[in-house]
Amino acid sequence: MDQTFLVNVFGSCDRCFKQRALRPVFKKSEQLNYCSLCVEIMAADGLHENETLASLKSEAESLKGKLEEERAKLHDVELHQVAERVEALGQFVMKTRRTLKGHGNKVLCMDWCKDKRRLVSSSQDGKVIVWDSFTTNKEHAVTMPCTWVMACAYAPSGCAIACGGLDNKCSVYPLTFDKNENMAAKKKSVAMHTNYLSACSFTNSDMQILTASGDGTCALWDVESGQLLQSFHGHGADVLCLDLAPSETGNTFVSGGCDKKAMVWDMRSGQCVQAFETHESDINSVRYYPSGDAFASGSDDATCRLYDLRADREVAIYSKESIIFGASSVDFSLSGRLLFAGYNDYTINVWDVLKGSRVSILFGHENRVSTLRVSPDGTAFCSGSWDHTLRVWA
Amino acid sequence: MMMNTLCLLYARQCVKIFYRHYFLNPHNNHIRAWSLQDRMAQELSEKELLKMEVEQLKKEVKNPRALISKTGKEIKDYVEAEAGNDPLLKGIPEDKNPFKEKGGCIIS
Repeated sequence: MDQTFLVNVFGSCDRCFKQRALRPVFKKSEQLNYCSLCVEIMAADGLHENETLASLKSEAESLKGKLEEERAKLHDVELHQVAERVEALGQFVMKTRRTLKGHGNKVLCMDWCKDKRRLVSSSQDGKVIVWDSFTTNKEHAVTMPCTWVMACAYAPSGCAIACGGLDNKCSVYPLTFDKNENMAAKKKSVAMHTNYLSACSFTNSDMQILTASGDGTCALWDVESGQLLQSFHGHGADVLCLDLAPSETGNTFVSGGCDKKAMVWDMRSGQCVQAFETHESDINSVRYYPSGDAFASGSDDATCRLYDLRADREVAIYSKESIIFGASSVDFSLSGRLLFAGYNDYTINVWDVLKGSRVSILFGHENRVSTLRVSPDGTAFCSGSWDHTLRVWA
Repeated sequence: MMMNTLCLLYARQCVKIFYRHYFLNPHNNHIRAWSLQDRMAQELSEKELLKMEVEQLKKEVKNPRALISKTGKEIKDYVEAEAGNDPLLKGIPEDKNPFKEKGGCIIS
């Protein structure tokens, strides 16, 4: 007859270190030996811990439910119903006016200069190029020491550019027209994150930069000293994009991340003011509405959504069953009537913001559109793509 | 014996002052003492993360909100007011378009 025996092992307990009869406990496939007294104490602690965790979880759930309720109270009409009387838009004819060729690899990011004609773009091979969009000439070029330069920005004065990527830093290069000067020599490292830099933007002056990183945080830096002025914690995963509120409306910015949340932050206090979690996948791009009262987001779930900040909810979804690829970047036209969105299926869709319908679809790129910005005066917009080119459309 | 304790207390005080100066010095930002706020999401325990989430939600529930019929109307009004100035919306005549094919007429 077979009998199983409980073997009593004597030894020193891993918790109280007293010589007692031990019971083996497996924790994450590691065997630990505890005496029976310690096992009882830990079980009681664990129960308490679980209770607190459970009560916190249920509190969080009920708060979320309350938030939804409060938001639903304001949902009295849909945006397109408010805009019913607005004239429908006619046919749009937008074509590629300039093609900027010169990058050796995927274009990842671009930004316009305030002078409405220059733009800076960065690519996977580490090159950052400043172009004159009217003549398609390259005015400056710099090679970063890292690849995948995912973020670049033009300073408001037009005298410097900022860029960064896999080097986890944001570097500022002053632009100089002196042929003898090497741009890379004057480089200044401003931001330091613990993971890749996904987005950067100058604030209203050349003196401060806002950055977003794969480490889940955003940060505000002083360019001159490299000092961290404010950090923004709250995203549960990589932050992929950010946009500053138009200067008239104050010190806030919105960020979107891989945790499907779009969060609005107060730059002075570092606190999150509002958060929206209606997307079903990573948010690749966020852009404020020109009036500052709303923002749009583009996501891997193939939709773009408009969130109204004063009604504190999503007010429109721009999607179609035929669009199955994610939107990588969005931007508004000057009046906010049109929303341009670049998708991973190589196209750019133009949406009527008020009515929620698609106005036009633009073909031309031979690989996914990775970045899209409307020029400061609204006369044109530029799109960058993995096909190594940038196109200016008007 | 008394002297020893006094020396120890004095030394401890010096170390405290040194640390305070060193860590809070703005030039040493990269090694400043991390507050709970600063630790990365991955470092915090589930309980701490939940606590932060509950605090944040409590704040957000109190946010002021307006009806969509009001805010949506404001968006619509903004669009209608600015539509006249939107070159991409109404189109620009070819001769004024700085991006037209042959050279460019630059309007400054």
